[in-house]
Amino acid sequence: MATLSRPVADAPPMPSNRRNLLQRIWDAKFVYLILVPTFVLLVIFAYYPFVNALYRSLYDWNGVNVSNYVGMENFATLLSLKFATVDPKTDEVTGEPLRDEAGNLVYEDIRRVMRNNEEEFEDFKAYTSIQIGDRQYHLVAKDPVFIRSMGNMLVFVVADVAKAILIPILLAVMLYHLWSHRWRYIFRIMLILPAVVPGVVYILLWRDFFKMPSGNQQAGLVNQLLGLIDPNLMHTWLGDVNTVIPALIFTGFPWVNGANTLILLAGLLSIPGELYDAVRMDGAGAWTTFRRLELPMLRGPIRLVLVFALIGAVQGYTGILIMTNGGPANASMVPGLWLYQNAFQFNRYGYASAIGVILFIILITFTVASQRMLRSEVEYEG
Amino acid sequence: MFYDKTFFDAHGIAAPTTWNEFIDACWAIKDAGALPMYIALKPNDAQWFWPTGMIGNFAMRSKVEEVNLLHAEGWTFDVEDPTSTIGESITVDEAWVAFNKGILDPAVAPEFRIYAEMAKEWADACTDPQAALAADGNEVYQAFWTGQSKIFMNGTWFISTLVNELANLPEEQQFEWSIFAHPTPTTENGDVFSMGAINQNMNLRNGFIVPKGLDPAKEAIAIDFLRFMTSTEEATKLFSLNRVDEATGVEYPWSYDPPAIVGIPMRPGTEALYPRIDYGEMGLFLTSAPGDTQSWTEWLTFFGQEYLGGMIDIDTVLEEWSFSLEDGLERSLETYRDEVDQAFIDANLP
Amino acid sequence: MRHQRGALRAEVMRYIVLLAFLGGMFYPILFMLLTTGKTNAELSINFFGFPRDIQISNLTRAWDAVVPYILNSVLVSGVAVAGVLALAVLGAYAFARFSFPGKNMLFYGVVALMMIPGILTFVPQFLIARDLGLLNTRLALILPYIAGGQVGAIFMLRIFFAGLPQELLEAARVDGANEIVILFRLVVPLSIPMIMVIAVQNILGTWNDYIWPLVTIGMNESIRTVPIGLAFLPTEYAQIPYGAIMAGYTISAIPLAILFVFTMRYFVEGLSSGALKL
Repeated sequence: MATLSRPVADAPPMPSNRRNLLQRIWDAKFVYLILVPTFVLLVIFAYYPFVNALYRSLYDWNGVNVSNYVGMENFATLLSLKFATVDPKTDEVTGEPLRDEAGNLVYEDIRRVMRNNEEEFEDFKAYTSIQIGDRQYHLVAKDPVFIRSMGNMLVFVVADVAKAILIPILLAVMLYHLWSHRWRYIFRIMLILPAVVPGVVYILLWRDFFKMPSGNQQAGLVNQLLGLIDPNLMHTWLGDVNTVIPALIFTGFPWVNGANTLILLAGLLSIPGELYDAVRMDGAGAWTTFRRLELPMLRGPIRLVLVFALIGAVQGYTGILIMTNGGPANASMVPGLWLYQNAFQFNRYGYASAIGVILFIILITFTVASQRMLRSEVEYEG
Repeated sequence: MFYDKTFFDAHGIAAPTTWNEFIDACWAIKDAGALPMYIALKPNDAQWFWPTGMIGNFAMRSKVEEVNLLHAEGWTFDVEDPTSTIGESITVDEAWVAFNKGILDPAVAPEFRIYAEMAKEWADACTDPQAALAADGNEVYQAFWTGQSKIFMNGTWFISTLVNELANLPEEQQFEWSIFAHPTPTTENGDVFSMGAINQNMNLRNGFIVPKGLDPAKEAIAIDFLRFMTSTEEATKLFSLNRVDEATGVEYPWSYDPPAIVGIPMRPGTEALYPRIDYGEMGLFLTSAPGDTQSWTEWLTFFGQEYLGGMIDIDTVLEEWSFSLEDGLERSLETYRDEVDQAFIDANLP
Repeated sequence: MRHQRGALRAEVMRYIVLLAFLGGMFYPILFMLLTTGKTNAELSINFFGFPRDIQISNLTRAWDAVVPYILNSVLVSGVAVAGVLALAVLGAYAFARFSFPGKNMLFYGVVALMMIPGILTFVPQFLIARDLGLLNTRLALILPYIAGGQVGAIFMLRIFFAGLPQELLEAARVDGANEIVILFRLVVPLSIPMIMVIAVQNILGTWNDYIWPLVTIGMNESIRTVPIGLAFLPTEYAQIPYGAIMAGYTISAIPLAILFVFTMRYFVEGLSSGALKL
């Protein structure tokens, strides 16, 4: 850092006492003046919102008249998760399990179980369940939508990170090895070209691509193609709780990410030629070259792309907002969208802030961890 | 409710007036290989939740006096006299008391179960619930004029769009449209439908609210403006559509809904779409807590998407509804705490 | 060269793979362009192919609908990027060239903001915009865009300024040029490629932003930006045929296409040289 800041030619010598400090501040008054607009904007739109979000996450606050301090209750509600088991109903006299007309075991509804056990399950709602043997295992939560959204987020994080890295690596390696530099340049331009179309257009197009035919309305592209194979394959992809997540992940196929490809290509271009010569001397094929030389040398750019993809996947929700609005039945809800709905539809700004704080903690953990790794990488390279 | 008269006539289907006729007509349309109603189970298609209040409030009429406990001195409810409800409304504290007594608790009150059964019957007969889950509200308009669906629920403001769009279609796709009033449930659907018939979603439904505690000068301006807007002269303009579009020269000889304000004439040559029908109504039937968007959004999800979409059964949906309404009412009591009459609640709930 | 045949086969494979992926990437755009020329009726019989009877009317219908949104976006993104560049150039220069008390603290105060995710500050930002009475005005977009955009810009420009050849600046100073002259005559011209990269990046960000404009100005139809305008297009113009909606999408790509013609080189170089790494 020291090399970055150079004293101005007429700066006074290093002062040590307070009077000199004031003198120095006065001398630098024009510099401060230059920074005033920057910091005024930052105070209003960055520092204050940040502090406010942390502080308001401890409140039940509707943004208007209700503002109650609730301590950690918002976080407790968001993160509360419990197991409950339900055994089959048994005959009170004989102790034999009861069966319905079809011969299936009969279970008490989990909602009733929780209502009958108010002390333990007050404010809990059913989230999901599995049956092992004759016993039902229920996962119940105070905010099952948030728990589901976190699960979905994990799925999207894995998928988005994979999409952001795998295809771009493949394309970058292909581009790097192209014999013709002119074509490499043309491909580079083409990779960036789709950015001229507003991002929302791709989302809207893909929403249409998943449409089912009905009446004289055409099916979307995806169902058109599936219909060519077998009309039975056509499906309301975004309207089925079981297919909505895979459909959202599929969106954007074949997931070409021009910016990431170029960043990775830059990484490849910076590999010294001697290293290639050395590997080639060993008689390595393309795959070995990739594994032994290119992949290790790309670690820096890959980590960079990964961190960006991760940050985007944890807090992004524009696509889901437009394509499904979290539906059907909250099946595609993600934390960002749940925050948005709590704030702008339910006026629960305190609760929404608490969701924001949880996401902030997740992101800061990722960022710090990746910084640590990046630093060790730099030392290793140096 | 708009319908494709050409299609109805070709298949010998009559425009329904009762709820059961409506369901039968839908099945007949499906038997003829068409989709009766294209709906989207999303907040931006009102077709599926609009009728909820109309049917539910109708079912709850016998409970009005039991719920509206903070009413003015000497008040009685008369279903045949719409003016009997003027100045009355269900407040959050009244709703909270009625909920806890079970009158407005969906898990307990029979009216909610009856409505849920009817809604499910309608979804199965008149719509394609699977497609409705993925559909979007902005597609439903086109679905009607392009012949995808045969019935479409909307207001009279839709007429000009419909006429224009039909005119743009190729000759062979055009059809004659007409309307029928929203079908009314009868005692065939349950004894709760014994007082009068359904109120149409028409006429002067809107009240105007001038907030309490407003600066007196602003209050005077607001009231003055409302007087102007509801004056005979202005209301006449609003309620007689009969006009010529200056840009296109197209004539729109149909009327908006017949005026509810006494003394407002229909413009000469205007044709009423159907006669005025009015019953006293109080808006008891609560899908969600007053002023609470969260319980409303939850209702749209568990009732619309999960229940009508066939993911959960009627017992579950009524339980969910009960929980959601209870939470929502608690939030509303907090939001409107300055107006809540705690003494009234304490006196009525042991 | 015994590997030559194999190497040629690999080269051909590379072209095939690259073209296949690029084809997949461009297909939605191609679909949009093709559908722009079709009527609903033609779409039902000719979904994939070229339009048989190109519908210019789709374009003219969509033009009237979309152009106001484009003008709004140009105004918002233009003012915002100008603000970002003005503040960032001055701020970065102050941090790179001068020594003053509290400098490091202030600089870290700016850089630390890059660690705070937008999702955390989203709600309070909205409430501030509401309390300042900015909702449904363009300022609700422009001011936060400048506030947020300058952070990364100051960071990148400071590094760039510090890396400029010092002898040049010293020479100018000896010649009696003051700091303002040095900044605008020397430093800024030398930094044009970097400034271009920052500008394009900022414009792309604000141009594509969807959720912030949706909540702050979504209700004011006359100042809607391109993304919200397009998302509402099917609702607002229920009577516009599908082809016209696609035409609207197509038209909305024109401004950035023009921008890219002039700045493409900087942008691609910037990405390729790793200038955007931070």
